[in-house]
Amino acid sequence: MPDGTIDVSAEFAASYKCLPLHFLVETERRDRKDLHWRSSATAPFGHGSCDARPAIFETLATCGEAWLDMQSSVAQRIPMTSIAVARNVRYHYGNRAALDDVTLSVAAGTLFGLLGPNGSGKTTLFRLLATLIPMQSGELTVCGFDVTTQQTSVRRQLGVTFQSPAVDVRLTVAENLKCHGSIYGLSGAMLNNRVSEMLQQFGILDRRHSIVGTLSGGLKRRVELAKGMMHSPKVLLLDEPTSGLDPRARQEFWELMTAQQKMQGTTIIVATHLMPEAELCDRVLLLDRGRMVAEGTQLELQSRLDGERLTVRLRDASNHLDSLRTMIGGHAELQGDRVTLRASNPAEQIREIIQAFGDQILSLELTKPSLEDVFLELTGRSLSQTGDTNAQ
Amino acid sequence: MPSDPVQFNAVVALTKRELIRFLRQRTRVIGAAGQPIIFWILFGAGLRSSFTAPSWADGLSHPVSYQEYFLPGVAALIVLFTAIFSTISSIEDRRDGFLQGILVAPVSRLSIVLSKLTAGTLLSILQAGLFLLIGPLISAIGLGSPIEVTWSVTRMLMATGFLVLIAAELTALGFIIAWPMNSTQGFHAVMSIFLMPMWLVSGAFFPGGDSGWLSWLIRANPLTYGVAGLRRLLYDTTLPVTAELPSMLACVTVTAIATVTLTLLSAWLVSRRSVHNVT
Repeated sequence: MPDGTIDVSAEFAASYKCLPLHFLVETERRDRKDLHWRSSATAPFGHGSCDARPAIFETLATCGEAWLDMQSSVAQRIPMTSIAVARNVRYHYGNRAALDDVTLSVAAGTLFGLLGPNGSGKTTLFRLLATLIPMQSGELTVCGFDVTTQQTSVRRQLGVTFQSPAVDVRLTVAENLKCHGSIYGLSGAMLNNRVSEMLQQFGILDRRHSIVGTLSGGLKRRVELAKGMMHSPKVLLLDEPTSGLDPRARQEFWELMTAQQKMQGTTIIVATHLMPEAELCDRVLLLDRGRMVAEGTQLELQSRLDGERLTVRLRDASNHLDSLRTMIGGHAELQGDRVTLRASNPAEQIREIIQAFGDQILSLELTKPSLEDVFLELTGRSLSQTGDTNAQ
Repeated sequence: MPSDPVQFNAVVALTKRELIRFLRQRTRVIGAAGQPIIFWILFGAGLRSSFTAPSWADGLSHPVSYQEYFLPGVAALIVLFTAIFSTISSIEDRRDGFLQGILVAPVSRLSIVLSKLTAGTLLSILQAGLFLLIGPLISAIGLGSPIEVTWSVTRMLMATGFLVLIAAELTALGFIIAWPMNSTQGFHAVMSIFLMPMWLVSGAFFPGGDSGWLSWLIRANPLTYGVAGLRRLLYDTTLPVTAELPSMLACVTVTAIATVTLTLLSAWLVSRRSVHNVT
């Protein structure tokens, strides 16, 4: 028996507690030399090393006598650097491609944004991750489990909050949480404790006996979220989680979320078309009509565009557009009374604009390009626009 | 996937939810039991004089009134209505988004189906059982002709057991119809052109023993065996086997086979991942 012990650095062990390890055990049978057996085991991390031998023994036990003639076995760790991995994922609704060759990797404990207008395919990707629709082409894993072949294991890792509410409006808050907890295998005192804990954490303790249908939109969302967190999922999937919320409730929601991410180390994947939400994310994937436009941190994405953005609000802006363009010698976008310009030499340009337009100017703002600008310049379309191939 | 394990906790939790939902909607409770009972009283009064008891009733010590004939049929109708109302909830679950939340949970699809069936079955046997128990007393308040059905404990238990089978059968049928649907309106259409006629030609409403094509329809209808089984359990004496009244063995066998088949079909439907499940 070869030594199957794998050394794991303390650093790695600390950041990837409780993740399942995958071992690849290559075996040879007397009559067939090309057979491989893959096995996995959940290893108790934290000691700096973990033993792969149990998995190898299990493999031997499973394979029976035919496998006893094992000539060489190599246990090799396939590191889990990512919580969710997509490789060349494609999805079609009829003839229409909703996802076209999407590849991504979401690191553990991060807040990852899927950003795109309606019809960009983010909801489709979300549904594939949530195991709601079958995979058509490509590979998709969550916590190392394949969404097609190991759907139950994937589902165990996930907490999902949909665009449309999934709470039962006829049940009380507590009944909803209990029902959900039981479905995820909680019971007895543990279930009750967890319900109280969630009610407390999400500030709905005093509403526990209210019928959910009678609550305000913001409170309903909290119930929804408390429900999704009942079973302490490793990964939280959120699809347009704040749609229908007022700005205050929206802000509260994200405060709760980021706290959750920091305290529990939950990985959060959020599909959104809202810029402020995307800006909260550690990394963002920009999607347009099923294609990946760009992926990276906000800073990385912003630095893909050169220069800063100069936004001028003008009286009678449309009439001044042409003269502004000549003055800047470049591209100018008009939206209402706002003209957005690419500023290569802002100090000089601001002076020129002030001289030329004087009191026609309502406001003047110099900013780094936003994700919206990035999206606009990479796709030629604005985020609030609906994709022309829109449906789901 | 019928080979999925059944998670007992999840089935209990989801069943409890269904029961709470149903009981919080009073109109459903009233609708499911009320209409059949009104039918029973009105048809019983209206058809009393024109009703000729079928041949199997000859052996009984008393003449069978229409009200008495109609009794097991009304119980079956209560079961049908309750089963339908409880499975309509799966259309609402889909529309309200609750279903998505369940489908992404690590719960076997068979458990999802079983919770719907358990809830529908429990509610149905409760309402139909109460009706069978109290119904025969109706003549006492002067609303119908005398009914000579007296319950012994044994027959009551047997009737409950048999009601469980019928209720599970009809709930599974309702579920199969409701699952692919997006609106409750569609279900009402199926109700009027398929489920009600099915009930009508089950020997519940009228005997049709020697009526040509109709008698074949009655014999091919699985619900006939449910109604006939209930009818047999009303009486202490064993009724003779006739063209329209199959033997108890046939009743139990056919109903049990239908129940198992429809349940497996439901589980299969739910196990398919499809775009239809997302809202």
